[in-house]
Amino acid sequence: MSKSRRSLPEINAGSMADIAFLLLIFFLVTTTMDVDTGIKRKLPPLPDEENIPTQVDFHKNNILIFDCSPSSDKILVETGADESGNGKPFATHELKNEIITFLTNYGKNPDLSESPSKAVLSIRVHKKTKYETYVKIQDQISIAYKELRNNEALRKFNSKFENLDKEKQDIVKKEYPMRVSESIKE
Amino acid sequence: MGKFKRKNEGESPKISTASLPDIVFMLLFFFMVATVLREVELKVTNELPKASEVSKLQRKSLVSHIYVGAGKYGKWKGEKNCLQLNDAISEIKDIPAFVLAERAARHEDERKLIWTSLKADNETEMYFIDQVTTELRRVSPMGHKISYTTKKETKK
Repeated sequence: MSKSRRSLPEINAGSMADIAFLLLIFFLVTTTMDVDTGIKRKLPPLPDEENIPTQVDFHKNNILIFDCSPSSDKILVETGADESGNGKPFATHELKNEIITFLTNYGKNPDLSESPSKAVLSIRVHKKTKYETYVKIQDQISIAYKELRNNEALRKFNSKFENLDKEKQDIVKKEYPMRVSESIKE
Repeated sequence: MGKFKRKNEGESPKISTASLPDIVFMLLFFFMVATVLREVELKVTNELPKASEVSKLQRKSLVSHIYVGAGKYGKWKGEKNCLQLNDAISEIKDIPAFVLAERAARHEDERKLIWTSLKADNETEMYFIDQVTTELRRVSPMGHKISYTTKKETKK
């Protein structure tokens, strides 16, 4: 017994490191560690015959329209109340403040929204508008809503929105529902 | 001078390399776990737009990708708005079949959790994006979860 055990040859582990290095280099080369990040949205289903969206009687001042033409960098912003087709031009990064003043108006200015829960943001793109512009607007909307929801969460629950549990988040979301409509024109 | 001479002149002590395999293995396992093998070859340009308020797509296995951009090779070269599903340039009308196939590939319980990651190039024109999203909406009577995939903008 002892004899045979003694005769077991030792495996040379010297090349182990080489093998491991080989594998390591392979994985180093093939690795991509980027996690996808993006702006999350939920697309509504297409309206069909049975499910024609009922015409809600919106007060026109509850709509804020972003008109982005392909020819200029500026976004034309107008409320539904004065839909003349020539809103005020804004650079994309300025939109956030416009959205917040629009949403938190609470009927003070008759041209702006009555309350955040009734407000609708409408993005109007043209056929040739660049995707980049569209994403920037969506981003500004996200930023504005995040700020408002955070403030509301701090006021109501004394905690940041992202740290609340789902039920409380839903309460805050109900107060500030994100309603974005999109349309495309020639 | 002789006073300061070391006993083992010129010879530095040997460093034991016995733990080298362990160190290398540790690194190896790290990269094996962190690795995601790139599964598709991009056939369209894909310069993603930047955005700052973004969220991560958590479970990679539940994300299906749609690429949009200008064609890079062959007859699509220079074509402004192209759509790539899996490994091939496709047409808008192929999207429903693609989405259904992606759904069928997942377990029944997880189908509701699938996100579509739309990776579209900066320069894509909106009418094309609209066609893509319309198809997505067509196949999802309960609404479609989409992520406009962006690069994270570093705040200055």
